[in-house]
Amino acid sequence: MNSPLLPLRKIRMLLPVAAAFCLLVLLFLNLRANRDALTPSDPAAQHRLYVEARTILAHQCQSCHGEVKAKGGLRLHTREALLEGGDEGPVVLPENPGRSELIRRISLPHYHKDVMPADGERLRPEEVKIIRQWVATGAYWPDGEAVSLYRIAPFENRLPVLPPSRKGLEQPIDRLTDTYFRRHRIPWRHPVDDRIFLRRAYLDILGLLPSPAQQAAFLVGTGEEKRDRLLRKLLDQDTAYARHWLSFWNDLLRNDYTGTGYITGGRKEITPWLYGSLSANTPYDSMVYRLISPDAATAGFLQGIQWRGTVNASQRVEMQAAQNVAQVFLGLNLKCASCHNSFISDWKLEDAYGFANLFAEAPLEIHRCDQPTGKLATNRLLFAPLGTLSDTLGREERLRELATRLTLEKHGRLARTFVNRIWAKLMGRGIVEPLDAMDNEPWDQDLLDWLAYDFTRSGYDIKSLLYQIMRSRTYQMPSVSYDGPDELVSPDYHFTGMVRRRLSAEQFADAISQAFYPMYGESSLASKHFPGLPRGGGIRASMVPNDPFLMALGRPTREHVAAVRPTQSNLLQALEVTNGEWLHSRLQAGARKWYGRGMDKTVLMDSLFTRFLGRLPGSREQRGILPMLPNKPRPADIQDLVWAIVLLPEFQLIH
Amino acid sequence: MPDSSPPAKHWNRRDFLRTASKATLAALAASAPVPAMIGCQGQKTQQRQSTADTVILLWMAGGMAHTETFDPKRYTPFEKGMEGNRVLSTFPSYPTALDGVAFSEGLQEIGKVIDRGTLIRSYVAADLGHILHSRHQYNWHTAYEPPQTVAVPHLGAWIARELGPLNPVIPAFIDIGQRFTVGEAEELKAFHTAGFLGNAYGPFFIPDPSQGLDSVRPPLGMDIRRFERRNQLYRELTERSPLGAFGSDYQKESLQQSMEQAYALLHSPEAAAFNLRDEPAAVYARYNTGRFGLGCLLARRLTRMGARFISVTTEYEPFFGWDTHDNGHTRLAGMKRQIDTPVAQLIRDLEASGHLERTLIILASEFSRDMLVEGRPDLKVKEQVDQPDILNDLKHYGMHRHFTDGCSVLMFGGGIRKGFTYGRTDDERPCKTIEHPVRIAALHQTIYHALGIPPDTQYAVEERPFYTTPDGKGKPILDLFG
Repeated sequence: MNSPLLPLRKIRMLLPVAAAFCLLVLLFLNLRANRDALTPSDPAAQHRLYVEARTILAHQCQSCHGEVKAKGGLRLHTREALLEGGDEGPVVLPENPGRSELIRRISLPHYHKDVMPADGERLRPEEVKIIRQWVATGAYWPDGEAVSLYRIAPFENRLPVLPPSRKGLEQPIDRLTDTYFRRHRIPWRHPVDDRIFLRRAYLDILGLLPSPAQQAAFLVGTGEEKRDRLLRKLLDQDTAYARHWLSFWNDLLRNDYTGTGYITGGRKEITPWLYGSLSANTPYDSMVYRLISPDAATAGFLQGIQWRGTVNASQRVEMQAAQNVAQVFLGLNLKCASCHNSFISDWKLEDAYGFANLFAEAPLEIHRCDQPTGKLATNRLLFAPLGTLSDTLGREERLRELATRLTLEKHGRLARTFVNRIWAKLMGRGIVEPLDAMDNEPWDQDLLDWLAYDFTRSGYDIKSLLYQIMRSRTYQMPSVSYDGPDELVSPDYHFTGMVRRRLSAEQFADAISQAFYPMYGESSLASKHFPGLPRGGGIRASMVPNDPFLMALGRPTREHVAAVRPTQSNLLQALEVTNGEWLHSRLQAGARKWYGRGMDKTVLMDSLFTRFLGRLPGSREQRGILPMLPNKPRPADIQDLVWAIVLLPEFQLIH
Repeated sequence: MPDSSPPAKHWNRRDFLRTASKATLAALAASAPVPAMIGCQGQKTQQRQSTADTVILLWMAGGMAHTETFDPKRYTPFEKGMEGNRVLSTFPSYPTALDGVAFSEGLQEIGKVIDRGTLIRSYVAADLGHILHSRHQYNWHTAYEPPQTVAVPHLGAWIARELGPLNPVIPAFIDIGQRFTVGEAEELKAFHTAGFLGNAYGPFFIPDPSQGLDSVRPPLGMDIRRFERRNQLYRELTERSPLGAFGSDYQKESLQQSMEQAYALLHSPEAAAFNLRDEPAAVYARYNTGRFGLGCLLARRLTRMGARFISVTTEYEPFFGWDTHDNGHTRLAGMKRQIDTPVAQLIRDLEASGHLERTLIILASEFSRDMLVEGRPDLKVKEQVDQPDILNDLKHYGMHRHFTDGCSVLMFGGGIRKGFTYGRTDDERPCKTIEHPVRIAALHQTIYHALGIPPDTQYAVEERPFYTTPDGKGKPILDLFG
């Protein structure tokens, strides 16, 4: 960088421009809301600016000026290197962007010979502003690795002190929620009525609707413990439970009956083991142990997906294993660090490779951005409390050790990650979000910690966890609506109750199977891995290969770990249910069968409403429907009425 | 030729914004991407001046040999006992509308219109090792090499996300001709997706163009009266539902708005564009060389109606179509018959109706083929075809191995230079790229450039910036613009 600095005269000429620019910057910062207001006394804002500036440097500059290359003698990956400058001298003068060569070069028009980056696109105006602002405020860059820019969640298990109970709020979850509510002045609302509770409980535990008989029995039942009894009864239905939760686990472990990789033998299913474990309510720690220290039945998880041909180093199967184990079980994103030192956390390339090394038969060579570095990885366990592992251990021993240590009760990270997933599944939003970023701040640390502690104390009993949450008044409050997905992930989010959720693709299909006509028959069964199938029915949508219908309704292709499903509806989805062949053909077949029952239109309407919506039609609804039906509805009438009912928001949402 | 379609109408994003629901637009799920780095809509530099509104990708699935199509070399007729090494092209070549440019026999119609576009003869596919078609196709359609740590969007999904539909009732990303019941179907699905951008931007599939109307009309066996009645019933129930008492709700609105949109499409005059039977018999016949040809016709109709991105494929099925592991010569004659007339006609028709100016048409394949080299001459990979050195049987006469170092790409319209050739391959085996190599990122950025989508468009996915092309480094080939 050898160009002269701007002469002073020019700077004077530029003053009005600079003033306008400052105004712009101010405006810009204002636009970005309070969280970004930058004052020297706001260390958090300073950190954010630092992170943003470093992120830009890392992505835009460091491929030529970084750890690996130093064009013009300049490196920008450490504070020392940045201040030292390049062959031509300093490039950054803290608090003096106007005289900083780096600022000048990145601000040049694209045709200028000195413009940086020399290759690729110019920085965007916003990026230049950030770097400039960062330099202007002193180019803050904390020393050493000890100073972390990032929140790191505590690793240990912890039993929080439970607040005293109040009448009607005796359960630990409710006591903790009560404290949270008081702190944030959020009122308790009355629990939902039996009908809504019943539907929720069935859908959340079994993924099914309550049948009319089950509804009737529950609604007339009495007693204090009525809801708890129902939950226990449902949780005891091992088969239906396993068939519902299979989808959650398949998403999480990216296990599927079809998908990439199978064609070249580069992928394995773990379905029989998974289905068996869910049916038997195998403790979570045992499941994790089997997945991390696998045998033939569970090897598919660590094995990942191997496409034919050569693969980017950051996607070799050992690295996939490291990424997936970290993401699924620890809520930790290693994907950045698999390629280069992370810019969003303290994780380093060596950490990711060190962790991946555990899953490798032979030591891995560290690659930075797909280029070999010549260095071999040494075993690393990511979190200090997990200890260290000798490099002399073989793969099997290493994995046994990893599995053992991860599942120790004193380590809370594993449990917290899982209870947060279950909470999100039942409540529509996690205590920590995103679910795969467990270092983020929870909206209530005590609640998260208590759930995790209780979960480990119960012997990692998944059904017991569900029971604890679902019997709470916290779960049983009415659902809340929201204005859009952004609202749920906003830093200002406050828990006020279960977020209104949408039926999953599988729940939608299974509800139709159950209330009207089977969506899937034995011929569509994906796998021979489901023992004890009832003859001629009972095939759940979780057990068939993905198809356009399920996919349109949000079942993911399990190429990647999928912690959440899309919540919004869209045109392609609506087209699939409006004129898609599959739903149409099933409803058509069902309508023919129902026609044979010779129902009168009122009986038909009442029956369908009860089955699908758990209630009888109101008088307004009757007045809307009955005039449109002949007294003895024909198959087409029946089909269209069912279609209209299953597309009602009331049916598709869990209230 | 008769033209009953409406004149080119320039729908803009504002129209769409007015008509689409808030919920549909706010389609970013809780874990979905947000524009990277910094708020205030700053995920990209300023919108560029665009030269195209619509993109049609004509996909030659399975690996189209350049020396047998748009980059012919010395022709050596078949003789029993000949040396395979002598054979560079198995067809004679014919002059085209461009001086000094010849096409292989069977492509004379496209030859007549090549002066309306640019011929690239130097596409170099990625080095992915032991070759799997679907993996190269993934790379071509996404600019990324699988596997990836996140689900990567198809080119069409990026365009749908950034620009939205051109005409609000026509899905922004339409995919014509590919069925997913073939071998490697799962691998094909892996890139026929909007990935992290969200389902809303994914492809609208029309596997069989002659049945295009079926995808936008009431289900088979449901007449329009019944369809209307069904919809009325749905509206009655929605309005009369006690749920209304709960007030407004994002989920509920999202559901209802999508249903309205679907109804609007099934109902709209635009739906007729999907119906090839409306075409005069002569026009239909001219395009009808099979499903690909009819796909071109459907693409033409949809373009005139305001489609944004359309892909028409000869369809990938292992060992079929362009995937000639044997009988290369014989089978290529058939493949060329399939594409020659309809592609040329598509160019002519769009030119005649004035749409070509703002429609970018790209014809491409995942890689080329050669009789001897598998992979690149400098980086050969595991061979998959048993090809004898001496040819005694006609079935061995053809380009049967997968060649990644020199493929042809055609581009027409949408601001692309006319009568231009770019890049060159060697005239002797291995006939590899020797001038202006073009890689996939550059090709994508060239398309984005034409559409006015900035090259550094990106989203933060799991807190990492994810660009339209890897690391945001791809650059458009500005030489290709007129």
